[in-house]
Amino acid sequence: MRLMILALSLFMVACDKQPQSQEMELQDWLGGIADEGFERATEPRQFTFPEDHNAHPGFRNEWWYVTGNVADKNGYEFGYQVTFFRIGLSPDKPKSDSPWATNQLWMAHIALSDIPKQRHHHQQRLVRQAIGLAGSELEQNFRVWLEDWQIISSKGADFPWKVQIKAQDFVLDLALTKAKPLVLQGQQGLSQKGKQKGNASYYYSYPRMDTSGTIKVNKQSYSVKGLSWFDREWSTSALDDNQVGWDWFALQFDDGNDFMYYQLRQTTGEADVTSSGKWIAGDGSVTEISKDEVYLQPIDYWKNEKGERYPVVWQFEIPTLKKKWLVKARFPEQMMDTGVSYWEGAVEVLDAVSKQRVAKGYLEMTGY
Amino acid sequence: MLPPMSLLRSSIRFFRQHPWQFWLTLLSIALGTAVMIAVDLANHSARQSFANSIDNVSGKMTHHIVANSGQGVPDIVYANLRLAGMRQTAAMIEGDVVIAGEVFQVIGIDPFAEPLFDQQSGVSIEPMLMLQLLTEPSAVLMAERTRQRLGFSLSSELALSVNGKQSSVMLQGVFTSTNQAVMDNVLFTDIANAQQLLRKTGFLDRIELILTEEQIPSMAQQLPQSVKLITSPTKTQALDQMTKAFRTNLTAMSLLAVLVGAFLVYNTMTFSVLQRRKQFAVERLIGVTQRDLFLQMLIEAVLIGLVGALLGVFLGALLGQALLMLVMQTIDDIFRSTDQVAFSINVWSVVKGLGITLSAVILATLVPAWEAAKTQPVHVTRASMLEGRFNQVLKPLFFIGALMGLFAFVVLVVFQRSLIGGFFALFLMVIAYSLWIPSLTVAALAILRPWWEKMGTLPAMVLRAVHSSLSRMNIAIIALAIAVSATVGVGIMIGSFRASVADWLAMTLQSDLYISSVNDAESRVEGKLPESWLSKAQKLPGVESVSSGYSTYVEVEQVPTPLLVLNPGEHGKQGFRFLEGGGEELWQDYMAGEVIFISEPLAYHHDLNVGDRLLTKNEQGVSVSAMIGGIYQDYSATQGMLVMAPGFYEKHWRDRGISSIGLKLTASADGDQVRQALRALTEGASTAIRIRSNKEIREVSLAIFDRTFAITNVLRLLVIIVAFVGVFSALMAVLLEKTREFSVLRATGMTSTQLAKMILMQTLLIGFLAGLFALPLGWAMSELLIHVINQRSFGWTMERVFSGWVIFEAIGLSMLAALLAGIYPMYRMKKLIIREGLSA
Repeated sequence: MRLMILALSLFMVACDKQPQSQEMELQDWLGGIADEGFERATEPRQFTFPEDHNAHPGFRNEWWYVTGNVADKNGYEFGYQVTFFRIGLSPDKPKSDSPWATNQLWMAHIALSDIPKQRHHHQQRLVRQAIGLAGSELEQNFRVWLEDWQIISSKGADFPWKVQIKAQDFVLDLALTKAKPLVLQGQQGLSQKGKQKGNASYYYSYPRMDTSGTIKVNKQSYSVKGLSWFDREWSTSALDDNQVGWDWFALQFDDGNDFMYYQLRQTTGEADVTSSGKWIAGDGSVTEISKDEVYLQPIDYWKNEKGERYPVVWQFEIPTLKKKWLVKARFPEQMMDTGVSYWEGAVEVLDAVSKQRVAKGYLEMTGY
Repeated sequence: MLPPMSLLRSSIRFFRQHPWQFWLTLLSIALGTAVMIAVDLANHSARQSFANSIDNVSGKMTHHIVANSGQGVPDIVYANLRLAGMRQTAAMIEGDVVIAGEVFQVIGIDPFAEPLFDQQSGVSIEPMLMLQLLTEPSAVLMAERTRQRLGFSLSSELALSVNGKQSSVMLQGVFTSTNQAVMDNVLFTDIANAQQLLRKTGFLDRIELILTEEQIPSMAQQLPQSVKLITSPTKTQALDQMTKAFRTNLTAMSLLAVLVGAFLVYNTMTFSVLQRRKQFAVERLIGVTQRDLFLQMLIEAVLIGLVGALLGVFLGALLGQALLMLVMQTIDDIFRSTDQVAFSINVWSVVKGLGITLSAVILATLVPAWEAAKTQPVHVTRASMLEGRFNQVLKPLFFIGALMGLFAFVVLVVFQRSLIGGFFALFLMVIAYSLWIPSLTVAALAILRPWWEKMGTLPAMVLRAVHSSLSRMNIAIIALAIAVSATVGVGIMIGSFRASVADWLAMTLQSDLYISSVNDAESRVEGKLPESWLSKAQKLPGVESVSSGYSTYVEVEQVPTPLLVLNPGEHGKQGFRFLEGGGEELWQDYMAGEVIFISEPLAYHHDLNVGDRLLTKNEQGVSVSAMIGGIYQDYSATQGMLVMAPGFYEKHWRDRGISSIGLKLTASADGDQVRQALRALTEGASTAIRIRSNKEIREVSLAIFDRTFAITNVLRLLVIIVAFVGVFSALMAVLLEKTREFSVLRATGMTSTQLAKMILMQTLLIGFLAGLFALPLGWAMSELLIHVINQRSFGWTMERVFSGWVIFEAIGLSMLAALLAGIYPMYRMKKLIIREGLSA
């Protein structure tokens, strides 16, 4: 699943019956786009690659999502996030002779968590898909880009994939190569989010990608290595009306296992039954984890200046797998203040008994 | 030494007994400060508001990329810049359309591209509308205020014409703007819609970008040949230059108001010393030192000055708002719409105003304070004490005045090009002249005496009365003379300026009809016209000859400077008045590309002469050197401009085109018919076309000129009011002092009417003398304003035009001010109760 920032916005607008005000943020009105005329994710599909890496403009929303934990040889650690969103503003392209005319808007959210300094840098960018300014393509190679920010594969869609970002505060130049095969999430790639039919997305991941490259920040350059997680998802609508947010975990264990789990929270605060995850063993075998198999409890909170409380330490238990962990933010302040603000940041996983670190990963929390 | 409080109490007691004096002093300080601060605040607010709103639209862009020729800058040039990570770039496409008979500027925007609609932007568009701009192919937005004015409803279809072709758009919504003045007739639409509507598919008018010094060479290199990089001719700059002329003159006027105010302070303080001589003598007897008295006077002055100045700040803020409206009227003539501009109190203006006022007050008090300190305890004072000394100081004053005059001259010569030097010399001259006025008054009275005394006893008495109170009356005369001279000087300057501009317009507009694109009002860069029109226009019946021009910018010493590539045709050569030389041979050299011409301001600012070489750069950054063949008179561009022949320009630049065509008609031609033929010819052009006659251009230009200087008339009046207060207070003071004398006159048989007549004549005499003395000063001031201040500010020279009316106006104005100031004292004296007066 993943960042349903857009879907969340949809929901927020649906709830908010007040007239649009000047202060309303960009994401709010993105939710105002009607579903009609877009395709819906109603049943499992036949995925084909590399074609499905490319955009699916028949659906309203789509994203390419990379998160990772890397470090240089001295153990200087970073977390990073690079997300490209495609937003269909209308099902059809407006009729115009002008090459600027488009119904496709692209948005990028990028972030770098400087863990020793406990500094979180982030930036948002919006670009229309016109005159080659932004888009996705699968010609010489697979590429998604917003101006000079891009994810670009080697020839065809071969690895390594390059993640190249020149932000205001930092520069990422990373090469990603899959260390495990692609995983179809949900039910053969159909990830049901709400109870309603069609409130679902198509969702697949590369849960473990060997990562190396350079990070420049604070006028210093770091040669880094580590692991990244790549998510791909497209949908037209996802959340039900009574779902207010979610907590999404992507954890990469030192022993070669990977684990993804999301819980959708209802207005009551309860986790929705559609919450689920996947345990991906070192050999690539996948085990479905349902909501009933999981005990998930926040145990420590951090409050931002707006007064929103985010759980930054979680107790995570999967009795069926005999796992018992503490999932801890590397540092609390990893807010994405980009329109709709959400918490997304690097975490570490400690064994609940030995208190030894067993994994690193990323956590995303919305709707708090 | 006495405790300061007791001295202060003595001051308070004095002013309690003489409330008139106190209030008038306060009023003159307040008025002087108010005028100065008001002008400053109005100027500042106007500039600030416009700088803000203009930066909102065009951003703080340093450079433009424009097309050398053809339809415009291809979209791909912009895309490549962005893909190379250059985000400080904005794609601009704009054009004029007509809706309901009004010209609107359509601006195509990419709502998501920075920096146009970032948070600093003054324009705010609701997010939903930003989205709809993309998805609704014909959506446009206009300012709410404009929508209301024209009575359009939301989501309605607007019929419009683009270059004469009918089309329609959808009024999707409105935007709000922190300043709607420049947004009144603006339509925002998506860049795709703008391209479609203005028939510029695939092209931009320009790309605006921010470049650092280091980026410029590589940027110029990497651009395709079809486009060029130019320095941004920002609208802020254009506004600054256009309004600089009158802002400079306003500042000069406001400083004169302070000077007049300072003389009033001097007057009141001197008078208060005079009145207190007895009191000071007593104070000295009981042990008050000279230093104490000096301090007492200074403290008194500073306190009154402070209260007056604060009052002035308050008054100035009110007055400033009124002035701002006048300033805005001028600026609205340059931009095309009117709106309220936020009036803001600028702390620096206030501090500056307070500082100048207090300095003036302290300076004006030094002499009276010194006078007070010199009071001897044993001295049994006589009222005419000071008058006796007056004659002794005449010569030293005259001498000091002469020295200061000389100093002013030296300043002018030494600081040849300094504007501040020019202002300093102006003030030195005013003060020098004011030091001569006492001597001039004595001389004038001596000349008048034989003639005047023949007129009867009463006039003779009047003359003697003025003579006997010269020390006080002179200050009133000086204040009034300075005020009147300021109006004379500024009046002559404006009159000369206007006459020169009118003359220049008549000369420079040699063509009968001009064709240009509509948006030339805002920047000198005009849209291009098809070159084929030139030969077609030449063939029209009634056209004698055709000239053509292309307006663009080139850099001269890093300053973007307007360039006119001119083919003068048969008639255009008469449109130039060279400061030296000229003639057919020069024009032959010009057409052969051997020389270029530069305007007088450019020559002045860069110290260039005929025969010098001017260095500039072409679009590739290659230096171009040109011989200056002539310097011509021009009032259109304050920073100056260049004129070169097409042959020369095309040899060094890749850019081609024409942006205006001038038509000289035959003597028998019917202007309207030719106009119609031109309309037909220009039908369907890709830009909006304007055809104007030289008469229209001349009238519009002069109307703008007149409105520009309307505010100076208000200021002249204000200076006169300050002076009026001066005359009034001087008269009141003298009359109050002479109450006893008048009572004696009344007791010995003079009727109250006779007394009133005497006072009336006295005031008229003062007014007459002040008006007379104002003339030479006003003339000298106008010389300085014309030949020093204006030239140093703008590099313009102008012919001084002096009308005989000025003499009558000055003396009439002066006598009227004196007369009005005399009415109340006259009334008071008429009511004089003899017994009370005698015992006073």
